[in-house]
Amino acid sequence: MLKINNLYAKVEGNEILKGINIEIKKGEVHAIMGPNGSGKSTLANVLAGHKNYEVTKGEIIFEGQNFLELSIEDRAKEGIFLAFQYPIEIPGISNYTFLKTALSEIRKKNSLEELDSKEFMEMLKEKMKILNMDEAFIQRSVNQGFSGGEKKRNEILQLLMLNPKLALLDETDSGLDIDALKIVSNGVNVFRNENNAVLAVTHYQRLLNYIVPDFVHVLSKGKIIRSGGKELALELEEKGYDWIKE
Amino acid sequence: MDKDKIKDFYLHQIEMFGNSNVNSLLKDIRDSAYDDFKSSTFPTKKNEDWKYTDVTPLLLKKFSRIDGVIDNINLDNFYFNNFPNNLIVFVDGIFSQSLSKFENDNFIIENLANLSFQNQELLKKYFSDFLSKKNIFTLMNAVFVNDGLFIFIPDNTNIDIPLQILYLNGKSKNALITPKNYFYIGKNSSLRIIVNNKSFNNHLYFANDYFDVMLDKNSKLDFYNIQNENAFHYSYTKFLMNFDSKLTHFSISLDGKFIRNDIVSELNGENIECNLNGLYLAKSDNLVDNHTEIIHSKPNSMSNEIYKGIMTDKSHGVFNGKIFVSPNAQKTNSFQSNKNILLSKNAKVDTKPQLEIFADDVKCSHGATVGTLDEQAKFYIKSRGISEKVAEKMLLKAFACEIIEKINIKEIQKHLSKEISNLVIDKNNSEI
Ligand SMILES: Nc1ncnc2c1ncn2[C@@H]1O[C@H](COP(=O)(O)OP(=O)(O)O)[C@@H](O)[C@H]1O
Ligand SMILES: [Mg+2]
Repeated sequence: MLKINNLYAKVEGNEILKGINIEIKKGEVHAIMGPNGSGKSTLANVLAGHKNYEVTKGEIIFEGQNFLELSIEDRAKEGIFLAFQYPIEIPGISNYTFLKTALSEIRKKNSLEELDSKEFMEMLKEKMKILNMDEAFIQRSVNQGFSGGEKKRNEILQLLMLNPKLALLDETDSGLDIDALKIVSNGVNVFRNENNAVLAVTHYQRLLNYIVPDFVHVLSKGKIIRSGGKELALELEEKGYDWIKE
Repeated sequence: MDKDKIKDFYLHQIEMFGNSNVNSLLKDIRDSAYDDFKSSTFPTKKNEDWKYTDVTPLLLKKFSRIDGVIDNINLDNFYFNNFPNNLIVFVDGIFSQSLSKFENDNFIIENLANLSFQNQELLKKYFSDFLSKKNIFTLMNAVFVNDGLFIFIPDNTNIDIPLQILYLNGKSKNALITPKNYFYIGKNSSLRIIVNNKSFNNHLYFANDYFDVMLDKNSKLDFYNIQNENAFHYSYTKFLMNFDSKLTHFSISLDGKFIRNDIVSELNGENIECNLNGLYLAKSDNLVDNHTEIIHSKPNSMSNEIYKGIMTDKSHGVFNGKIFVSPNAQKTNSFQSNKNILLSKNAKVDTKPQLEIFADDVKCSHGATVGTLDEQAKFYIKSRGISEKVAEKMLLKAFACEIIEKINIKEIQKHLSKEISNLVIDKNNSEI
């Protein structure tokens, strides 16, 4: 599904990613772990197409297509979704309007008709139930005044509604208490199936207790310095990142 | 046209039409301003009040006063008609009885040109000095006045149905439109007014209007002044507020070649709440200049001012917000904010707070910002598959929603959202 080959990226003149290689196949869950500042969010942003990040070398192939040439919105329509580390507040635009607009764009791309309000509402309510979200959130402005946990849940709600091929989760566990973590992880697990994939970026191992990865990559100073199975995450938790660096 | 000769051109017009055929009220108003008008000059940028705004384009055109009523017009596209409202129509500044539709069992509403003798006396009783602020434009409005509206809400009267005053301008070419309006809201009374300024077509004109508004004790007024034109507009509004009164004003400039609004609110009592909201959009090479002045002259009152502007193309926005707190206006609470978004590199804005505070026990805060649409927010929206254009529309709506949410008339809210949306040229015409 996704191939990242020898990827280098700069932000404001500083090289942050220095030769990343990852391949993700359908049905897989990958985790990228690494200390703060190692470039995890940079990688997620580069994949989503953020303009501040300049790819200087390498390639991103998604479903056989050269992704680097596509705009942010076209990447989303091709089926990539980034759950943000810091979701943005949009006052005056309701969750309803936001999701309905996004979903209709994505359905249009896939030659599907726009859902009517009733179908859309049914779908929305069903997904909100999975995330234990009050229906009042439908009419509230996107993320405005939401608590940290509510914002993260809202990201996963968008994930479930837009149903992409590849979900990028950037520190989705940060700021969540254990109950919220379970709900959010459950949302991601509901999303998962044999035709899609997850790339979870995280600082801590605890998310991976709930969203169990097939592969774990350790990112340090813009390079993947170790890859392995899920046991690598546990080892890291126990021994810390310094253990690998040495 | 030589811009230094334009005053003579206007003086000559005054001499030509004289004062025949008008009632004594209009004659008195004109006379009260004539000498001062004659001796004043149009401002230049050297004048502090006009520092950012060049009036030359206005002085290079000749505008002429209009006679006679025009009422063979289909109004459908010009006014808000999806909610119950009383409608008063002026065409090129002249009242049209046949186009207006209103019921007024319990208050007085009459146009100045036809004001009964009795109501002329009433007007003079409350608004004895016909114009409270003399500058060349308010003087010009007075010497050229040929109509306008008098509203008198007696004490203890709540008017539930909003009153829409449609100023449909530019039916005639190069019209000089000079209505003068006097509104009195009695003690414990309330009213909602929508002043709706619309261009009839693409004729250029100069609308120079004047609103003198009194809020008596414990009265409540919502006042929407909406400008959606393609012409020159100078507008002066004065509020005189008495004890316990509450004003919520919206100055909404959606379109206009040259707009200058002067709003003065004098809080002449305690426990007053004065809310001045502004939303201004400017495109092509248009100018929109908002000057406001809030005067706290008694203790324990509150003013709350939020102006937001979106400028695109080569347009120019100006905000000057003066807050004056007199020495005895202790415990004044005054908040001011002006925020601007520039959608193009060639657009610009000048913003200036002007605080003159002479009392020591007050809470006053102010802030101004000028920025562009937030890139990270745009990234967020686009990462959901939403196009650049729609993302921009959403963010503009997000910017303006602080004002729009305060409007308690749904149709006006919708209208504004649409106008904001239209600032972004989008070939799919997406509505959000
Ligand atoms: N927009 C940006 N501008 C400047 N520096 C940035 C920007 N984004 C990230 N960086 C820098 O890139 C490095 C990696 O950051 P980031 O990808 O956020 O790390 P992580 O998510 O692993 O904590 C850090 O040194 C950070 O300061
Ligand atoms: Mg990060």
